[in-house]
Amino acid sequence: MTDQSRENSTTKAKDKARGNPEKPPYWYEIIVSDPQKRTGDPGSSSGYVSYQISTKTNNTSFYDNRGNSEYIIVVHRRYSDLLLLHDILLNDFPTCIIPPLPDKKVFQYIAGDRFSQRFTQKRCHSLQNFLRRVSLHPDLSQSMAFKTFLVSKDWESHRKVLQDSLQINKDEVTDAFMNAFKTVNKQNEEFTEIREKSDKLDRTVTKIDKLFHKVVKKNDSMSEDYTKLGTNLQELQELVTGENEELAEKLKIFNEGVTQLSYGLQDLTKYLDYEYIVDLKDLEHYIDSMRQLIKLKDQKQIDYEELSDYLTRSIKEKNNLISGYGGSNFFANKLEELAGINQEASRREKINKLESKITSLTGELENAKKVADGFEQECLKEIYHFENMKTKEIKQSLGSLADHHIEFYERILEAWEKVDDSL
Amino acid sequence: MDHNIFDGLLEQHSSASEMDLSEEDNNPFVGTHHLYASGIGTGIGGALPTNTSTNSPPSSSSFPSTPVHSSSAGSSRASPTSSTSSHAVVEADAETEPFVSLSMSTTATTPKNTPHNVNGPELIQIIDAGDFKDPWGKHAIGYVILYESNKIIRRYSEFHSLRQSLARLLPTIIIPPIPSKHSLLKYIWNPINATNDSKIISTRKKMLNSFLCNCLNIEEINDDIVFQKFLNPEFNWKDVLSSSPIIILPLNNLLAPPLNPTKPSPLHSILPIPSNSSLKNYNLIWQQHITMKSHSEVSNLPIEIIQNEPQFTHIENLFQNYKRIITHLLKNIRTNKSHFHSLSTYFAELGAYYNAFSLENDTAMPNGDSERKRNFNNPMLEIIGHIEKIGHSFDIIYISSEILIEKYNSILEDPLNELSQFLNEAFRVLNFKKLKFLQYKILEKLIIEKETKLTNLTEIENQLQKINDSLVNSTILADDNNMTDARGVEPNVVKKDTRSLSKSSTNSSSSGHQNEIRIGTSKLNYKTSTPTMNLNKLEIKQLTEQERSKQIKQLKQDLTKLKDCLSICVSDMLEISASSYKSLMYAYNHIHLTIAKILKLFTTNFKAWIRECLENWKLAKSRIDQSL
Repeated sequence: MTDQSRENSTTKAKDKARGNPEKPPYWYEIIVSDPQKRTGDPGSSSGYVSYQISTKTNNTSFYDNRGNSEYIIVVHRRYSDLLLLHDILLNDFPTCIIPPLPDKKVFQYIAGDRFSQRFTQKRCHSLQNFLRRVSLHPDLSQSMAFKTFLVSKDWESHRKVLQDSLQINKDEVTDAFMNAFKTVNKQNEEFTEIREKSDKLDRTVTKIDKLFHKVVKKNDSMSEDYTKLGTNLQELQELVTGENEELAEKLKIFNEGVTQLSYGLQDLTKYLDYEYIVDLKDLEHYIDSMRQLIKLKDQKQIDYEELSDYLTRSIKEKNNLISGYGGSNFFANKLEELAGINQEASRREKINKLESKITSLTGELENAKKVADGFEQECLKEIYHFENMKTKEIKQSLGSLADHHIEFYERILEAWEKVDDSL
Repeated sequence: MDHNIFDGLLEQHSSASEMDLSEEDNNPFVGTHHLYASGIGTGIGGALPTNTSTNSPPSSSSFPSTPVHSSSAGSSRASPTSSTSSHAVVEADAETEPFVSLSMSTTATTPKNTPHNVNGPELIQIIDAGDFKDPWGKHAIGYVILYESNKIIRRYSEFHSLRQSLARLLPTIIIPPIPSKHSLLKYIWNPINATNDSKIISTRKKMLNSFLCNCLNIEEINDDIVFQKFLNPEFNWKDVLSSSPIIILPLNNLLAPPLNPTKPSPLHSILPIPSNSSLKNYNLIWQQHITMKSHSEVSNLPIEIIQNEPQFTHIENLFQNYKRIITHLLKNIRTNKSHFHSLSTYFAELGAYYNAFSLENDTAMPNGDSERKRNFNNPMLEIIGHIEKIGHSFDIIYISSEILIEKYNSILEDPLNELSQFLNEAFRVLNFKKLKFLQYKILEKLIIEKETKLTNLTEIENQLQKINDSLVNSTILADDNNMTDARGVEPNVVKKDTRSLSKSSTNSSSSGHQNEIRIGTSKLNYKTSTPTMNLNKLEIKQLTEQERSKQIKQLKQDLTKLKDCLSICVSDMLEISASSYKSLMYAYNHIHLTIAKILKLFTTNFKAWIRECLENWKLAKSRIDQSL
């Protein structure tokens, strides 16, 4: 009975979720840019990096009715502020896949190059990915914290309040991960598939990510090669000047082509390193977040399953008591008999106890079931949202990958056309 | 008894020639460059024989290995009609004569084919390369040359020996390079594949082709008999190598006229050979020569040689810089190639992963019914095509990159290597010119020494004459009284002379020997040679009158010969200067042309690669945009 009803309810929920996928009511254009090193408070030794966050939206509440969507809201935030926002969202929306933030990169802190352009640029892009994902989420984008984060000119005071509220709830969140090693007995087929799929995707993306890392490294050495080649050619050109002006001119033109090649390759590499690889990394993290959510959902289901187990056992015990001496309780009964306890009275008392327990358990079970089912529904909705987002992101990043390659090849083609014409 | 004209010089030279003899004992023509004895005897102006069969080594005692031949050759020279009696001469004639006539006929036929020449580069072509059986039944890789509608099969080793022969025949000409031999290391790494590797063969084929084309462009090579024979299928290359003019080449080109090494004058063979190690002092010696104008009589080099020198220095410096840059470039290109290669491997992997990515999503839900599948996979299904397209892009870029990298060999590395070899050849020619100058300096030094000696001797002679004259006068005037005094002087002189006679003769020869070596080696020894000359002065005084006059006579004789040698050397220098300058200028232009060609070729290929990549990405992008 329970299975069937659950199946029905979930499919209903699914249909509802897929039938009209919820879209955030407003659009947001958020750009994270201009990472700048700031010296910290007089007390703290090291500085921090502040990022400029510019927002454009059609959500008028963002402007306090003081402007329109042409107006750009600019605030400055640091990484820890974004981390706070992330934690708040995680706390407030336990059933949502919270987009991940880039790693804290402790190593970079130790190595001391967390102010390097490469590091901050990459982080910039990753932070932008995070904010974009939040802004595209139907629920997350409407949270107060999100709005405050993007708009508030008085972030410092808000931060204090938000931090405190988070402190109180922190314990509850961690509780969910207590029995992470328990597995769900009856896993929904759909989730198994989702899990398998996400594992596969994760593996592929990781592999591609690694390969692009290698490509970036190779591109760097290639560009270095071309720079060296340029130096050699320059030297040759200087030698030839005075001997054969025509050839010197040709060498000069050729060298320009090589220089363009070197620069173009550098730019392409920068894009790959600062953006494409970051996108891939963020996708990996996003998949991780989704897995976290599934784990949480499993947790709820485990709760329900355990309750239901307990209930079945209680009912069984009660039935045993009613039907007389259960084989298993024989010795216990004998013992009680010897102790001179009124068996009949104690049995009745026990049955009563069990009955009340069963009633409360049934109530709880229904509750847990509601929670689990609700969670599952939310989860599916989230996963559906995630799938959409992921697809969009992959598409977008592939498009931009192609764009940047086209740009690179067009640029060097133009340069080399010139070279070819002049030779 | 042979007179010892050059003191130590001759001794040194003959010892060197003995070494030569021991090396090539069995070669009857090895005596070619030992003509000095007879040659000097007959004088320099004598008409030179056309080939060596007529050059008879003079003193059979000094050449133990060739007595039979020299005597028979001598007789044949004396009476040509009776030459049939001499076996050796018949052989020599049989070897040399037919080739002369044949080569004449081949050169005569070339003008008929001039219409072909219009095509320029297609005049000669290697049309095929592959396994063939040589006349001795050995398997080898042969290269089929198509030249004037003849097909000639030559092996790599034959090209190699052709090049070496040409370098010896034409010391002032830059001989186009051929690909270098397999390194031994490569052979050890890959013993089976090393020679049969089709890659090497095709590279060699191309490079040998360019070698032949380059040769045809250089008229000195094109006109050479040996080169003509190489391109004539009627000639077996082994036979060409073991016949004149190759076997009659002098062992050292410094001992022959630079433009005609097979026809050395007798004087050529007695020229001193400067050591290769003395080359590094060339600039210093040259500078000294230019600044020191003291010995005006001897050291008057023709003005054009002195005027041309800056041009040679300039070219040498320029070429050395070219060489350095080319070496850098080659190194750079090699690293770039390996980087490019690993990059393209990553592209291949990326292509594979993207393709797997797209397939994965396609078959992600094997169990679900189709409607459900479409529902659930809907967003992903949409981009499967994109992912696949990107994967495809990477695949294509991988392939076209590999093709481009393959081409790096033929469009960059091979031509640059060829250029580098060309430059090495230019240095060989330049060194030859330098060595000739050093040779000249040795002669000049010897002449100066001899002249000093001669002046000393004549001075003493004059002094003694004066003493004698005064003695005679005094005897006439002062009768017997003074006679005793005079006698007291004379025996003293004689006594001294006898004491040091043996010593001085050995000393003078050995010191001359030493001087000759020192000249070549360093500036320091130039100075040290002066004290020995002073010593000679002393020794000279101790000689007897007869010995003195004999020495004076011999010195005068030597000096004339040395001066003849010097003038030959100078005329050689003029020839070398003109001919090698021409060749160097050819190389100069060739190098510039080749660089321009390389640039153009690379640009064309590189552009094609860019275009292919670009089109490919554009296609992928348009596919992505379509489904938006």
